Amino acid sequence: MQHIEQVIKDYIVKEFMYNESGKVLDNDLPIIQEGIVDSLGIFKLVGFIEEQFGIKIQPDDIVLENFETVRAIQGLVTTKLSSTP
Amino acid sequence: MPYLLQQLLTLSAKQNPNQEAVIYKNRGMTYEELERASNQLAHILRINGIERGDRVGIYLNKSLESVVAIFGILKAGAVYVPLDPSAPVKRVAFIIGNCGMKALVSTQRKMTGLLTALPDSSPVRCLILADEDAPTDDGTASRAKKVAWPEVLQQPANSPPSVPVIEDDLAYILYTSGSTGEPKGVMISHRASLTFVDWAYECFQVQATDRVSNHAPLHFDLSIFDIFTTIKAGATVILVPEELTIFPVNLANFIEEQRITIWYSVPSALTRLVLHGNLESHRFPHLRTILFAGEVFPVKYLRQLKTLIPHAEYYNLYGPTETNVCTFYQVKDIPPDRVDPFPIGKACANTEVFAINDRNEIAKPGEVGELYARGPSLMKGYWGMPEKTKTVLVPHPVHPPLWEERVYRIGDLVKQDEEGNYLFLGRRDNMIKSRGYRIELGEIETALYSHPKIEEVAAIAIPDEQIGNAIKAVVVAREAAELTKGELESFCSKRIPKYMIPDIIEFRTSLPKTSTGKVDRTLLLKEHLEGQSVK
Repeated sequence: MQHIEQVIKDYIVKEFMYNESGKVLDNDLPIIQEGIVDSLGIFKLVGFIEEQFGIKIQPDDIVLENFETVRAIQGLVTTKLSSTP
Repeated sequence: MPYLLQQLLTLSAKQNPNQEAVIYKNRGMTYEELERASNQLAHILRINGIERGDRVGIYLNKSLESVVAIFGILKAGAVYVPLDPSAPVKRVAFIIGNCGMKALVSTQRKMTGLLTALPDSSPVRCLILADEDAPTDDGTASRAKKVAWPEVLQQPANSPPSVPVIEDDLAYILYTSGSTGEPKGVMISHRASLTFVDWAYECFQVQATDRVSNHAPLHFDLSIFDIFTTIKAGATVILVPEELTIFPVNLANFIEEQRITIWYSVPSALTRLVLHGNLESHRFPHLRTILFAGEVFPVKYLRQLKTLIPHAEYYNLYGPTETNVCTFYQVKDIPPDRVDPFPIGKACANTEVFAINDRNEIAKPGEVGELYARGPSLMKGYWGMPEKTKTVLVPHPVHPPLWEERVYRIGDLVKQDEEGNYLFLGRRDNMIKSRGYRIELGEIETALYSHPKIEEVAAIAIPDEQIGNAIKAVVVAREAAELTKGELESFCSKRIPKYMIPDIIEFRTSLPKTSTGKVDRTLLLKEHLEGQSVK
């Protein structure tokens, strides 16, 4: 659990927050609303998650509710991992 | 006959005050409410010294208040300047200084970040804060007077202040990418904007029952159709929440739930819907017209979209910010073997377009030429750049002028087909389109050149089916300097908008040159496409 969360956070900080010195990425920071992950970033993030955790994110999964916060993304990954044999 | 953009609102508000004018998420405003709120904003701007022709910025995320701001500023006789709420604050500060912006409509939250980038010499003397609970004195050091929204709402609402404005006065300035590294402000008059709005209203038969999407940000000229044509028709503007534009599945649901009847966006947004929006699960029974502009729509995705939403009419609109939309083409059947993009079409009403060949004659059908536009929809010029303006607003290249008329040299290469439709072939210079955004590669190079460790840089466009072009920067670092991709991305993000940050960065020890000593961009592209670039 801890691990998943940290991997996601590290990636977001590295890829999308290089210019957000004032912001701290906690589990509930609204990363979409804050403009940290935008339309250019979302598919990069999806690609990273798929590769990193060996899961397949379906088009139907790429919705606001699953990517609003680190907590939401972690929830999505956990669900996918538990449904993968 | 209305001759100012704000009169469109006043007329529609008289005719149908209780109709919904604009909707954002679960809030809406009727025509009467929008009319009254914009009158109030106009009064407060006048009280705070805003005069006819002054520039007033809008630095807001999409919201009902951003639409109130547009009309309020126009009613004060001023010129609205929409600022990209997601652009680096340095760029926003540049624009504020560049056009001598006297007032800004923003929020406390957004201003906190911007104030750090505004110099003491900033021309802004009044900040209208649209947050509900913004304190007027928060201790931040700024010479500008702060006005909270409740104070705006205490102003007289029944009529706007009386300001003598004519159709030749400026309505707005839209900043676009400039080749020398700084954005340039395209000045558009009421007459120029109305020429386009009136045409679009007739051409697409916009009705009061229509629900028109506003997908483009306000600093992008696609928003002119969304806001003003809709308001002219007494119809409803549906502001698309920014976060939905990121998630195609949510966006597709939104289009259906909101019963959008007319959609207008860049093709890449539609391509994303086709590829990731799960459109098969919707019928979109209300959607009657789909308009797109800003870049070439790959035929393969347009065909898929047409198959998924067969009952809508499809139009390709064309024209740089400087001319408004100047040509259009209705896409009807798409033969299964067609791969060529559709034409940009023929001139809109009250607009003339023509192409000039390399012998400086009007190009004949089938002959390549450079496109020009003539008519009342043209810009007045670039703000504060008379020399630059003269290079594009030029005397008619063929017909001797009978009066001091200027035509606009678009810079796109075209040819005309047998039916008289123009086909877009490419650019004459280094301007490219990526994700529908207009980008000068020179602006990216200038940003990178300002990095102390960079010796040489070339930005090139890599054709990409989904986003039009990807941007690649080939960088030569100064001797012994350690540079990383991340460091350069971070550096760029403080200077240029996200969509201009190179998608690919490659480091080299030197750049290939042509025989005249210029960077060989053709070779760089060729090497990239062949995947054999030497590191």
